[in-house]
Order: sequence, then C-alpha cells, then structure tokens
Amino acid sequence: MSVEERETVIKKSHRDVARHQEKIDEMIRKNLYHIIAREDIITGDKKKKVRVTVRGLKSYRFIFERGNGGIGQGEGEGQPGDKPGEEVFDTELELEKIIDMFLEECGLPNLKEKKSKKIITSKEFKYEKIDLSGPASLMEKRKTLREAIKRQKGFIRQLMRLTGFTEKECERILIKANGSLVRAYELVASELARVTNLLQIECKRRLLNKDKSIKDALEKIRTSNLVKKPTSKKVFIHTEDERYKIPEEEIEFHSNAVCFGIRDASGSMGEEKKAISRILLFYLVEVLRKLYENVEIRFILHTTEAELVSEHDFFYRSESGGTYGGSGYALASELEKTKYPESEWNIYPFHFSDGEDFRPEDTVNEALKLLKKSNMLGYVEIQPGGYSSWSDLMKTFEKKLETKRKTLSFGIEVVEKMVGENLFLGVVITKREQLASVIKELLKEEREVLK
Amino acid sequence: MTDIKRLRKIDEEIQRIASEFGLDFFRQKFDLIPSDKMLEFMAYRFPNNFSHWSFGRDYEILRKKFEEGKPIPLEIVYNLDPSRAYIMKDLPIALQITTMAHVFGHNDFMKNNFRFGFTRRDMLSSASFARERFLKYESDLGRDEVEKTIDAGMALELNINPDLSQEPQIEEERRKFLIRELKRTRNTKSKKSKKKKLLSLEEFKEKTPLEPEQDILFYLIDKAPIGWQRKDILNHIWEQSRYLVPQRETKIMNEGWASLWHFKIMDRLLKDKVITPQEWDTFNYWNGRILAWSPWQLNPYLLGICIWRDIEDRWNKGKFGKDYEKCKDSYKKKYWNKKLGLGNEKLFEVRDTYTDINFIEELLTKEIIDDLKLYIYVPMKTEDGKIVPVVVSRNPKIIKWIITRGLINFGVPYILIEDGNYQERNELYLKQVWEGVGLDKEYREETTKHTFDSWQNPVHIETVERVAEKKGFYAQQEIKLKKVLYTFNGDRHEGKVLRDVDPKELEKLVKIEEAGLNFSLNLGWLKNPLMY
Repeated sequence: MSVEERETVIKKSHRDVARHQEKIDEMIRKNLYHIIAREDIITGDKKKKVRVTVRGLKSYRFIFERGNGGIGQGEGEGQPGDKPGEEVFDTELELEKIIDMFLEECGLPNLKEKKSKKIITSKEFKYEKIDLSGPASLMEKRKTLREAIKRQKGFIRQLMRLTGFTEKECERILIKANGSLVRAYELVASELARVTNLLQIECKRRLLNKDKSIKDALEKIRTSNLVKKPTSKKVFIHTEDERYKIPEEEIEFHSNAVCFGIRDASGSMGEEKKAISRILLFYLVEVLRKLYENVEIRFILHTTEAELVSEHDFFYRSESGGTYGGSGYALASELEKTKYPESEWNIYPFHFSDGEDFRPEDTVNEALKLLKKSNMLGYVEIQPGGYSSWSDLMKTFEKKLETKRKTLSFGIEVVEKMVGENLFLGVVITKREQLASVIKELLKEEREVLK
Repeated sequence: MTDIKRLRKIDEEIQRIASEFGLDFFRQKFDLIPSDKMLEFMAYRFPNNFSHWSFGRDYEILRKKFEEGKPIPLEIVYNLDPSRAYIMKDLPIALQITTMAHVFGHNDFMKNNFRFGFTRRDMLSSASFARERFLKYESDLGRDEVEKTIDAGMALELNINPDLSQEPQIEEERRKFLIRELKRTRNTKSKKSKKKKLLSLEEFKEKTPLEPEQDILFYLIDKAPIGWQRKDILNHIWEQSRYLVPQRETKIMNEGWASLWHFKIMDRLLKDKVITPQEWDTFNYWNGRILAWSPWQLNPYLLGICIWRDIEDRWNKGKFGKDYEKCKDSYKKKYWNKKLGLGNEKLFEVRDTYTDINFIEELLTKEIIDDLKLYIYVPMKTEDGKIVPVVVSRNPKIIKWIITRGLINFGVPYILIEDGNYQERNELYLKQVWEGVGLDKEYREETTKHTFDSWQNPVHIETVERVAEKKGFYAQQEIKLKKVLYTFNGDRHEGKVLRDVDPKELEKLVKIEEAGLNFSLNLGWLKNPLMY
C-alpha cells in the first residue's frame, strides 16, 4: 500500500514505567534490612549513589519446575554469554534516600532534646523589606526607577488631561521642565501668554481650571518649540521615588550534639565485631544528624587505658592488652567537662564491647556518672555466633540498675532503664541480621521504661 | 530522491519480486516511527494497548538493551488485513529495505497458514478501545482493583484452549444442549454405552464444569462472582491471548520463512541494481547477526531458515521417500540428486498446513542438528564466578524430543479444571495432568493467589511431587512420587499429600516420569510472541 513516516506519536509508557518503579521501590523497602547491613554502603560520602540490585518483578503463571538446562548452538566450549531468563534491575539510590527510608521504617526517633541547649547565632543578612529612606549604598535601583517611571507617566497623563496634547507631546514638555509638573505648567502658561496677550498667572489659572477660552490658544502653541522640538528620553528621579533595602539579621537556633563512640580495642574484638560496631555507629550518627544541626563525633578506643583516636583508627585498630571500659567512660566525662559542656551540648555516648571487662563494677560506676550528663547512653554488646559466657559487663549493669533483660524478636536482648531524665539502653547483638532491629530498638519512639 | 520516496519505490519493486516468487500477501502498510515508540510497541504488544505495570517493566528492559547496543528487533508486523508493520526510522536505509522484505514474508505466512485463519483481524482497534474502557474502570473501581484483575488475566493468559476453530460455549447453554441430547439418546441405549459409566441426568444438572476444562480464563469469565467490568478486562485479555495463539504456535516456521524470503528478495534487488553493493554489505552484516549461534538459547530465525532451506534442497533433489530412507551408503546419500525440482511446491505446502510442532517433528533432520551443532547444556559456575553452559549431550533424538516438548501446549503445564464447586462450596479444583515434571513452587503459589483474586473462593491445585517419607522411627527416608493438593484460602498456602490414591495410578505416574526426561525447556518467545 504505502510507506509513511509518522512523527507525531504520543508516548504512553510513562505511567506504567512509573508504576513499575513504584513496585520496585516497594521491594527495596521490604529488603531494606538486608541493604542496611551491607558494609560497602557506609563507606564514602553521603551524596554517593548506592547500587541496589533488585531481582526483576516476575509475571507469574503456571510453569514447570525449572530444569536448569536448555538447548544451545555452537562448539559449546564454555563461552559465557548473556544468559537469558532472569531480568535484574539495578536501581541507583542515594544513600540519603536509603537512610530516610529506613528511618521512616523505624518511626521517627524521639530522642529527647533538652530545650536549654540551644544556641542563637546569626547566619547572614536578608534583604526582604523595603524602606523609603536609607544610605545610598542600599538603594534598590530597580525599584526606585520603576517608581520614577510610574510617577512620570502619571504626570504625563495629568498634562494630557489639561492640555489635550498627545502623550508624546506632553512627554516633551515634561522633559523640558526637568520632570517637574509645576515647572511644566509654567512653561505652558508662559507660551500661552505669548500667544494670547494675557498674564502668565492668568493663563496658568485658566489652564488648571480647564477654561474653554484658551482652547484655541492651546492649538496655536502646538507648533511652538516647546511642544514640537524633540528631546531625548529621560526619567527624573525624585526623592519620593527612592527605595532602600532594609538589612535584616537572620537568626538561627542551633542545636548541638556530640556522640562519643567508645570501643573496646582488646584482642578479643574480631573483624566481625568491628564491622558490626562500625555499621551501628554510622546509622546512629546519621539519626543524630537528622535531629541536630551540629553533630560532632569523638572516637575513643580503650584497652585498660583510653585514647582519643581518629575515625579510621577507631574502626580498624586492634591492640593487645586487657579491658577496662571505665577508662573510656572516664575520658568521655573529661571531654564533657572541658569541651562539650552539658549546658550547650546534647550528649550521646555509645559503647561497643564484647562484654569482657576486668573491673566491671568500676566501669559501670563510670558509665552511670556519664549517664547523668547524657541524653541517652547506649551500651552494645557484640557477641557474634552466640555468646560463650554470660558477659560480666551486662550482668553488672543489670545488677546496678536493678532491671532484668528482655528478649525481643530476632533474639535480641535489651536492658533499659531511665535514670532521672536520662535513658540507659543496653543491647546484645549476636548476628549481623539483627542489625536493623537493633538500630530500631535503639531509636524506638515509644518505650515503656521503668523509672 | 529523498529516503521516503525511494522506499516507496522499493516497496513496489519488492511487491513485484515477491509476487514473481509466488508469495501471496495482504495489502501492506508501513509506518516509519521513532525508536522509543518502537520499543513501546514491542513492550505493549499492540500500539495503544491497555496500561499495566508489566508493560512498563518490559519497556525498561528493552530500553536498557537498546541503549547498551544489544540487538533488538527492528520491526513489528501485525496479523491484520490490510497488514500493518512498524519500522524503526533511524535505521540505515539498507536495513529498512531488508525489514520491508522480511515483513512481506510474514505477511504471506499469516495470510496462508491455516492456523491464522481463525483469528480476528481487527485486533489493534480492539486493543485501543480496551485501553479507554480500562481507564474508565480505573476511575470507577480504583486502580488497585483493575491492576489486580489484569494481573490475574495475564497469569492465566496461557491457560486457554488453543483450538481456535471452536468458539467456547457458555456453560449453561452447553448444559441445555447436552441434556437434550442425553434425553434423546437414552431410549436407544446400546450394550456398549451401558457398560460405560454415564452420568445420570441429575448429576449432569449440577456438574460444573461439564467436562474437565482447559480454558481456565474463560471459565472464570463465565462463572466467577465478579463485576462486569472485571469480567470485561479478563475477556479482553483472553481475546488478545487467543489472537496471539497462532503466532506462538508458528514462531520458528514464521521467522524462518520471513528470513528465507528476505534473503531471496534482497539478492534479487541487488541483481536488478535497485540497491547498491554497499547496501548489500550492510544487509549481510545484519543478516549474519540475526542468524547468529547462541550458546544459551535456541535461535528461532536460524533453526527456521535452516529447515526451510533443507526442505527446498531435498525436494529439489528428491531426497525423500522410501528409497532415500533405506539407502545406507552415506556418500551416495550426500550426492543424491534426482532433479525433481519440487522444492518450491513443497515449501508452499508446508507453509499452508504445518505448525511448529510437526514442522520440527517431521522436518528437523539429524543432518540439520549436526550442521547447527545443537547441544543440550547444563549451566555451571566456573572458578571465577562466571556461568557457562556445559554440553551434556548432542544426541539428535533427544534434542528433537526436547524441542517438541517445549512447544506442546505453549510449553506450559497442562492444567484442567476438575471441579468448580469443590466440596459444594464453590471452590475451584485444578489438576495438573502429569507429564513427568511438576510445577514451580513460587510461580504456583503466586498464580493461585491471582486466580483467587478473581474466583474469590479457595483455589486448589492437584499436582504430583516427590515427597520424603519415613515409615517408623528407625526407618530410612524414602522419596516417592505422591499426589499433592495445594490450597490457597485467601490467607495462606497449605499443602497436603493425598492418601487415598489408587496404588496402580501411582505406578502409572512413575512410569510416565521414567519415560520422559526430567528436563523442561523454556522458550523465550512464548512470553512475547510478536512477529519481528
């Protein structure tokens, strides 16, 4: 029949592509717990995109149990190719979005904030309001000019009404009168006086009263220099046109938080334990960042003695020696006194340990000292592969705080207690799969805590 | 001369040449469209088809492939009268000419093959009307409801009756007809019919479906307790699926046939100097790509064209019949030539009357399998984590058997509705006819869920599985074939082993399993059977 070219075809797939993406997002949301526990996510900066691979959504129908094999062609010498079948979607998500999704899952965390701990600082100046007077440097030129043009147009209309000249002619008169309406009247009046042999004052009076007797005279002066001689365009700025910016100080309420990461660096903390503490601390800090504008993290490693270290060291360093957690808490307390006073900072210490401690009693005492000054103190005991012994530290905490541990879903054990206004929260984690639940537990919105 | 004018002229040339070759086609209309629109047509099956997320997914997959430069089809042909084809606009002109020639092959095939005779040839407009209707239902019923219904329809898309010559009957009408027949024949009962277990009239009045029913989708449309809008949705999906049945059944033949003729037509165009040698080169490169060997998959283009060429060659040389079959001398057999010249005639005969199954069964010879180096593979992981196919066998008999089996019933399990009022509670009882391979668990569960959405009552499915059994505490585990009944009650899936099964029947099941190879072939094109 024919061959035709068709340009104007409307795309209709947007809607379904969007719906498909919605479904994939839903799937990601469901798999979030696995994604959260991935270590590679938390390296690098937050703006980076994380590749999340999702198995394609299938169209279900009755099919046979999958025989693995098939029929192919060629020599069959094991050249890999694109195996058909399962489609895989790589979705790129910003890390920020993943964190947000996860926090949404957890419910918005309700870490209590102390009201007195806000600091007022001025951030910058804003210029939103306009005034009629001010220093020359702050003059708003555009607005001033606009006002001047507006006013000049009004003057011209006034002249037109009185004289019956055209707009262009009136504009010429006004420019010759240097933009002053009064001067313009005088110019016209003197011109009229020349034609009619009347006094200039009389002419002005008649002009302003729209007297019909000067109508002919007005027609006569149309040809005069005043009206006919062209002028260049000008806008005269009067004082009433001037507009000035008003500087305004923008005041911000800052909230500060400091997070003390305290970790046991003794030899018993293996790679897996370090990895878990790393992931946990990352998300805890992220949450703090959501709540406070200014968040600082201090990393403290301890064996029997505590040391302030860099982030890298905190996560990777191992040392030989004994364990005394109290030294870590003591260092944190000292930091609080010197650098992060309780009155200005919200304080969140998190302690990661495997529970071994040479002087558990002292450690707990130190911890409780710090707890008095913190909003919340988290103690995370990491026992991958199930714990071998009842740890000293958690037991001592239990004894001291007079509470019992509770076992929650996924086999997580939790000890929680309010001391005054401050919360103590101890968690035992045994598997990486529990990570998400542990974070959720640490940040839970509503909790029933024994006071 | 602009491209489009040249294409119009070449269109006429191709028509002339094709008619000379003896092709018989509908009037053909070509539309040149931009590539992203083309991808959309492929994903949606029809231009302006109804909206569903799975089409969005397919579009994304195709778009990714296209952007990565992987080969995707360059045109679509629809089985319509007049036939309509869409060609990608941004192609080099040589490929546009090739695809035009290719399209005439499809057109001829669809006009003449007997399976296509039963389809409606106004599917495109029907699909776009459906789009409008479904959008309206969305505002009436809500998006989720419509989406669910389409999900269910698509899940049961292949569970229809592939015999298009029969128009399905609404059950009540058929019941009336059968009861009338029964009353008429009751008086003239012969001895033979007395021996057979005939249903009594009373039983007949209550039974549903009247006989085990393959067309699950139509049964749902007929009997499911859902609103007319949802029934309309299911009905339209059923019609689309029926429309695509012949395409599913003749993919290898159809693609092979079109490739065979586009090659011949292009050859002729070069000789007539309609196309330049440079353009011929471009065509040749592309042709080589679509006829490429693939280590993972059967290439229907390649398999098809090889069989067609073999037919032409054999019937030209008289390589058929008793004499040829009996001849044991391989040298003599290779150079056998009676100069009969029946090739062309045979080609057209096969085109008219075959479908893929008998095409493969009768005409795929041992020689072709050897030439194409077909093999059966099992995927294995190498040390560096790559998955490679490892050849298990090159036995032509088994290969042929597996391909044929993959084609039977579109390669999906044969499932019948046994009872639509199971336990007198309107529950649906499905039964898989055992062919040696069971059902995939994940897919079975999701599909029964979808079926439940439309049937709105529990859905049962009976299948056969290997079940581990322990007799006594100290006894060893025995793995045996058992009949298993799975139920979805709207909430969760339950499974139980059927105990009261005749042991003889179980023996039969074992025999069937032993007879068949436990090997199922997934043919990619059954998912989207459009003609490219």
